[in-house]
This record gives sequence, structure tokens and C-alpha cells, in this order.
Amino acid sequence: MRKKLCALLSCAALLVGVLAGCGGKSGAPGGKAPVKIGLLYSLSGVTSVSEKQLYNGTKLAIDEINAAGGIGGRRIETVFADYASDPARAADKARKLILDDKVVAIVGTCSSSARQAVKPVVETNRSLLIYPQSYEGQEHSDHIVYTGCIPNQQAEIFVNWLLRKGYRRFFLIGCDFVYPQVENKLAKEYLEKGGGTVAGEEYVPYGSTDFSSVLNKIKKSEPDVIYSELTGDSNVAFYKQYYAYGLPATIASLTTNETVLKSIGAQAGKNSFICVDYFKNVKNSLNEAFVKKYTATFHDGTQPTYAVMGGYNAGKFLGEALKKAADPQNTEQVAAAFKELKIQSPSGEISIDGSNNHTRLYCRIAQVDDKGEANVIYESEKPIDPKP
Amino acid sequence: MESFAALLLNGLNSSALILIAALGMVIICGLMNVINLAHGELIMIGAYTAYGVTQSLGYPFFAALPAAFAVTAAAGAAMERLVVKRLAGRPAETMLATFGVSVVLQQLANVAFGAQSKYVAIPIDGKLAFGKVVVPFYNLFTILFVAAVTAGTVLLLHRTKFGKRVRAITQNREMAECLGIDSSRVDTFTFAFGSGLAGLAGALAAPVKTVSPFMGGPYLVNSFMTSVVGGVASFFGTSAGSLLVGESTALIGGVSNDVLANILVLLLIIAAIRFRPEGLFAKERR
Amino acid sequence: MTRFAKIPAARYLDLALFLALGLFPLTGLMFYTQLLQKYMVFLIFAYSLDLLWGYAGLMDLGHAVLFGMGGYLMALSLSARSGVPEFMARYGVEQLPAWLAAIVPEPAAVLAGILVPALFAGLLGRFLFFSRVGGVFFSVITLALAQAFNLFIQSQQEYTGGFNGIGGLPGLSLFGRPLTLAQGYYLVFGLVLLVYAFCRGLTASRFGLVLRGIRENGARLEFLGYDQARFKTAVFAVSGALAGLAGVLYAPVNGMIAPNDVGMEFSTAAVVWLAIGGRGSLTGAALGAMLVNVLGNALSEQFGAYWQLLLGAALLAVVFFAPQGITGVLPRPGARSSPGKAAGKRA
Repeated sequence: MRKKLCALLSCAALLVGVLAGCGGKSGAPGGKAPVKIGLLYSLSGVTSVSEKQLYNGTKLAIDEINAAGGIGGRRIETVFADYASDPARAADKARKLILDDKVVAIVGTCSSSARQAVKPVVETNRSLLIYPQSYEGQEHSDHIVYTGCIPNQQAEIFVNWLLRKGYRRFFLIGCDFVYPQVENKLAKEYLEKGGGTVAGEEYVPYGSTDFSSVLNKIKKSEPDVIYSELTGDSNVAFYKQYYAYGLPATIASLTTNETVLKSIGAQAGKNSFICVDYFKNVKNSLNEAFVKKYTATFHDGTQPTYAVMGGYNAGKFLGEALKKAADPQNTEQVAAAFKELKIQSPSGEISIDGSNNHTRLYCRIAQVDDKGEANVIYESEKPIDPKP
Repeated sequence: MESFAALLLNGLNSSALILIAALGMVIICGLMNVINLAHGELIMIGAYTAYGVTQSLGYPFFAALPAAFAVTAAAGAAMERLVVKRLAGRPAETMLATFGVSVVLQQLANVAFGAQSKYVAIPIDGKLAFGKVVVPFYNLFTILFVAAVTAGTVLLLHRTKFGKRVRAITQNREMAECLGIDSSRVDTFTFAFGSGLAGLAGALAAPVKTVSPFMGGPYLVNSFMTSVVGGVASFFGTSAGSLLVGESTALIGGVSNDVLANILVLLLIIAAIRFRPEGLFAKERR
Repeated sequence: MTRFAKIPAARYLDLALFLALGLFPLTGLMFYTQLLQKYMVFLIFAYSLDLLWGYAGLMDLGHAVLFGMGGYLMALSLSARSGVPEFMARYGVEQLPAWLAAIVPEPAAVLAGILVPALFAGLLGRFLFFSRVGGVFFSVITLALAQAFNLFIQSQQEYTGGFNGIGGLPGLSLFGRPLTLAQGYYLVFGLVLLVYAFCRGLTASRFGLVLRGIRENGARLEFLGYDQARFKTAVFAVSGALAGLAGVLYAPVNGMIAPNDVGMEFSTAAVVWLAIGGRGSLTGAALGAMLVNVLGNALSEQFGAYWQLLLGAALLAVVFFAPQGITGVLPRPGARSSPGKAAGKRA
């Protein structure tokens, strides 16, 4: 008899557990209802290095908008969901944000695998994703707005700039997935047109930190410049080991940022080049104020990088779109409001290209000095049209 | 020819790091029969200690090495007393408990330090270059240091009273206890020593790799494989095993690409375990 | 009353679980129904691991490899339905390779997704068990396999979508007709019941008895005349087939499959489910799988960035206080709660 009671109680507990896992719906109290948006970032998984930066940027933007009066007097309320760097979970959380929390739009995801997992969810449910990270392009969706830079906004300018500076032999290196491969493919095209040569092309397993065989190959092929799209731990380890080997070629990276520079130390990054759309040291009044605000607000060791700026721009664009739309709760109107939307950002005046939902961004090249700071030495005259 | 020498030498460096990481695991696994899935996180603790000592406290790197050993040994001792001892004799549960510890440690590090890699300066600048072969001085230091530590460990286990007690317990726990050896204390010390070695691995890797909450994962699989291939009870085996793993990865990576190299090495390991499960260099044959 | 006393408490749990799952769609919570549908696929995966680990005592740290084979085959089939899929075309693949064209039709894909992992497991078993590789070595080999398979999938980008995996897969469909959420849910539910019945039957049979014998003391069983290796290989193949089935269902239910789902993380996740739920009873596997996933989901909703920490701590707690898992604390029919009590009663 006791057994059965025990079992019955367990069943009840189970049922309760299942239903409790469903969570309660967060109902908005009466009065002017806030506008709900979702923040879908992984702060607890292996990609949290980048995602924390994106998250900080977005949060800063939303806080600014709320401080300035919100959307016609209505606050923007953010619903945060953590997906632990697991694309399947990202899709689940996106579904939850859309169906359960009824957000107007989602800002978030970082890696392409997470974005591609979320893509069908926002498309089937006719919602909206603002994707803040730089990625490989080659994608288009009516339900996604991409605010990070894509290869054509980096490769053409960077490769030709390097060729003009006298670098001829390029050694291409990246992690083994689609982003570096697309970047390298573009680089090879521009090299051919510009008279440069490919000294070598290597892909390392994602997350690998052992570059001994790669460094030997580099030594053998004697390039002028290492054209790198390494990311994460691999990127950090590469700079350090490259410095230890003391090889002469300069490193030119499409992915390094100020946080990475802090991790590798002043010596390892010295004189290397970086090409992205934003640096902390961009000189304009809006950016100086932004950097000051960022360093005052966040003390978690992150720097204002192009990832932060991507997240910030995403939040700012969304805020503008919400204001422009007649009904900020109507996702379709908000999505339509993004076309050719322009904002004044610390990275310059940038706008969304309505034909492909990507952002026109400035291209900037920086050189790292002996104190480990990235100083902007080239800035494109106007924002570059994205061609995904 | 020269590039082959270069590959060999750099493979030696990878092997050295693999060896010291695996050494800790061999001690814990082979001598205590515990599969410690938090091994990678012990390495992480060593790396963060190196960061703390050199960057926050400003001491030179050579102070960081003993510090990393001490801190990680203490962490290992704590883990042994709190977790492993309670689950003695139940390998599956112990393994799962250490997995839980690993998750907790990773997340704690993430919350406490943030996910970005911490900077640890390379203590020895410069490189040795003869012809086409380049070997950074720090790599040479790593190889020599690991060799010294391995020799020291072997000496510890075969020439000291403590080592004798450890070996006695491994061979026959009950008998050793009858002879008056406090097996519980020796267990804690052994686990602490193995953990300390893992901490050294982390500290050695810190200047040239990363110091981040999730850095431990890759080391875990490698250490596992190496200790099983080399033979869990023999240090010569472990050394040889790590040499094998490190060199094969470097050499295969040298001729084709790194991804293929990793896959092939894993398949080779599987074959090695299948055909000589007691280890490639174990003295007894089943 | 006495008849009911003979049914183990665990069976009531099974019944309760299936009732809860069967009735859940009636709550109308669409998002959670979809989530539970995925968790039911995990149930099948958990059952397959329980057969191998709980009943035969072989701890497979790379079980997701078998799952992934089924999943990727199904995903490839689904994405090749209308010609060369985009992720392949990007790498210059002009035509579907012969083996892919062969599994485009749905029944072929399902069959391949089940048989290929079974075959692989069988061959691996033949390779390993017949030379007395067991225990911790088996676990280490499966771990290495998981790592190698993960790397392999990532490297073959023309055929597997590499790191990003294969996405945008259509939902469940039967005989060409796409199913609604409710229909798909009950299809998976029906399959879960079938797999459960099959596993119950298998473990209650003489085969299951031999497996448990192997788990307890393989050598003794050899003396009784049973060839360990043959039984181990057989259960490995069966487990592989079930894991493959779970993978085949996972691809359409989840809408995508990625290297994340076939490597160490997912394999260890399943091991954790069984550790928490208890192994060797099928009930524990189901309980663990459901509990961990539902709890994980609830925790991540409440605690944002800290939920993994809490889950790790929860695992530690379970391993400490209930090392046999939850079903380990359930009373079994005919067993006394503790010898002391019985002695006390008698005295």
C-alpha cells in the first residue's frame, strides 16, 4: 500500500513538474502596456565571450531609448532567454519568446548555427529577428535584419589596401567552417585581380589551440602577411604562439577586437592590422560619449568592440523602427519600418539596405600599437553597401 | 628534412603539454581507479592561478608554477574529501559526480572571471633558429620542465616512503591497511598530487594558449586517450603514449591538415586500445 | 489487492508518465507541446541507452554517434527532396551522389536511419567485444568515437553542412502528407509506446536475463555456456537501431541537426539523464530524460545565465543522495526496506 502511495505521489509530483516547467505567463499590468522585445543570447555557454558583448550593446541601446521616453511614452520591456550556445535550444527559446511571451521582435544569436536554427522559427511564426553579429553573408530573409558587417564590406577594401601597402604573398588561415571559407574565397578573387599571390591556405578545427604544424607551414611558405579569420580561443592562442615563433609576416585579421587584444597582451598584437566596421578609438563626439558610458556601465572585463557596436546598433535600429511603425506591437509594420532606416551611431551614420535587410556600414582598418591599442588608420569615405 | 625536424620538435612541445596533463590523470585514474571528468577544470584552475599570480599579484612566472601546483592540489584534495571519498567503490557514480563538479567549476569561472581569455605573459622571449627550424625558447623550457617533473614523479613513486605506500595501496588496499598505512590520507595526497600536476599543465599552457572557463574540454579527451593508450599503470607508457599522440598529430597535420590529423589520431587510439587494452607499453599482457 | 502489490512501483510511474504525455496536448499550450514532442524523441534515445548501459552494463559515452547517424541521414534525405540542397550547391556539388539519391524517398531514409547505426554498432561490437574489451575501455573508445565523428561531420561540409549543420527541415509527414502539431505529437507518442513495449518485452525475455547476468558477472555467465560477446554485440546493435530511430525522428521534429547533437555533449547529456533517473529499469531512463530536460528548461527561464550552474549542482546532489538515481529510492516488490527493520520485527 505504501508503495502505491509513494508511486502515486511521484506521479503527482511529475505532473506538477511538467506543468510547472511551463512557467507562468508574464502578464502586463494595466495602463500603458510596455512594448516587449526578446533578447536571445547565450551568456552561459562557450560562445559567451562574444555574446556578452552583443548583449551589453543591445541592453545599453534599449536603456538609452527608455531613458529618452521609450516608444511614444511606452517602455520597452526586454525578455531575456539564454540558449547555452546550443542551436537547438536557441530555436526553442525563440519559439517561446514569440509564442509564449508574445514579443514583437527578437534581438540576438551570435553564431551562424544559432541564427540558422532560429531562422525557420521566425519565418514560420512571421516574427522578426535582428541579428547583430558580423557573419559570412549569403543569406536573406524577410524576417531577419542583419546589422553586422559581411565579407564584401571588409574583404575588397582590406585586400586592396594591403596590396597597395606592398604585401604580396598572403597566407590565409581560419577555423574550419563557413565564415572563414567565404572570406578566403573573396580574398582570393581580389588577390587575383590585384596581383597578389596565395602562399598558403589552412583551416584548423574549431576551438583548436595548437598551431605548431600550421606555424611550420607558414615558415616554409614565407608569406608577407597572414590573412586571418580565426575566432575565439583559436585566435588568442594563434597570436601568442605566432609571437613566440617570431616570424616576420604581419598578421591581418578580420575578426580580432579590443577584448582579444587585451587577452593576448601588448607584445603579441603589435603592428598587426585589423579590419572591421568599428573600433573603440573611432574619433567622433558620439563615440567618445559612448565609450565613456560603456566603461562606466559595464565592469565585466569587456571592451567596446565591434560586437558591442553590432548589438548596440541592433537595439537602436529596432527602437527607431518601433517608433516609426504605426503600431509597435505589429511585427509586420515594424519589419516594414526597417527599410532604408537611418540612425546616427557612434560608428557613423548608417542605414539599412531595404533590398536585402543588411546594413550599410563603414569599413575601418586599424593598426595595433605597442600599448595594445587599435588605432584607426583608414576609414572608408561612406558606408559600404552590403552584398550578401 | 629540416621541416621534418621542425615538425618533430614542435610535436615534442605538444607532447610535453599532453604528457603533463595526462600524468595527473594517470595518477588519479591508474592509482586510484577514479575517472575524473573534472580533470580539464583542474587544468583551468592552474591556468587561472598563473594569471592571478603574474598579472594580479605581479610576481614572475616562475613563482606561478609552484603556486599553480599548490592551489590545484588543494582543490584536488578538497574534491577528494568531499566527493570522491563518499562514492568510493562506485566508479560510475564517481564519474558522474566529477562531471557535475566540472560543470559547476566551469560556470563558476564564467560568472567570476567572465568568458574572455586572460592574458599571461610569456616568461621567456626569443627563439632558437637553426636553418629552417624555429623553436621558441619557451617551448624548450616546457619540454625540459615537463621532463623534470615526470622524472620527479617517477622518483617520488619509486624511491620515497610515500610512493611506496601509494603503490602498496594500489596493489592491495586491505593488506596495506593491515600494515598500518592510513589509506584514506594517502588517497587524499595522491589525488592532490595528480591534481597539482594538472594545475602545472594549465600554468604552462597559459602563456601560449588561453585562460578561459571552458578551456578544459579539449585537454580532457586528450588526457584520457593518452593515459589509456600508454597504459594506465605505467609512466613510461604514459610518456610514450603522449609522445605518440603529440607527434602523430603534428606529423599528420604537417602533411595534410589538422582536422584530418585529429580524426586519424583518434582512430589510431581506438585501434591501440582494442589491440592492446592494457596499454601499449604495459609489462603484463592479459 | 495482492495482484496489484506484485506490480513494481516503477510501472505506476511509467503509466503516470504516459498518461501525462498523452493528455498534455489537451492543455492547448502549443509551445510546450512542441517541446514535449522533442523530449519524447529523447525518451526513445534514453531507452536505447538504458538497454545498453542499464541492462548490459556497457557505459557508452558516445551514444550520440548512433543517434547522429540516423539524424543526419534523415536530414540529408529531407533536404535533398527537391534536388541538390543549397548547402551542397555552395560547395560546387552538382549532382546528388548515388547513396544520397537512394535515401531520398521517405521509407528508404527511415530504413537507412535505423539500419546504418545498427550495422555500425554491430560491427563495432564485433571489433571490440570479441577481444574482451569492456568496462572502462569500452567507454573510452566510445568517447574517442564521439570526438572523431564530431570532427568528421564538421569537416565534410559539402555533405553535412559542417559546423552549422543542416537546417530548415520540414516537419513530420506520413506517406507524403505533412502532419499538424497534434498529429505529429501523437505519432511520436505512439512510437514511444511501441519502443517501450519492445524494450519491456526484450528485457523480460531470456535475452534480457542474460544481459543482466553479463552486467553482474560476465565471467560466471561464460561458465554457464553463454557467449558474452555475442549477446553484447546483439544488444549494441539493437540499441543502435533504437538510437537511430530517435535520430530519424529528431531531424524533422527539431527542424535541424548540427554537430552539437552528435558529439560528446549530447552523449554525456543522455548519461546524465540515466544517472539522475536511475538505470536498468526503463522507467528511470524515461524519468531522468523528462525531468532533466523539463527542469533545465524551467531553470533557464527563471535564472537566465546561471541555470547551467544550478543544473550541475543538482546533478551533484542526486549523485550524493541517490546514487542509483530516482528509481533507486523506490521500493521494489518483495524487497524489505532494510534488513535491520525486518530483524527488528522478528525480534
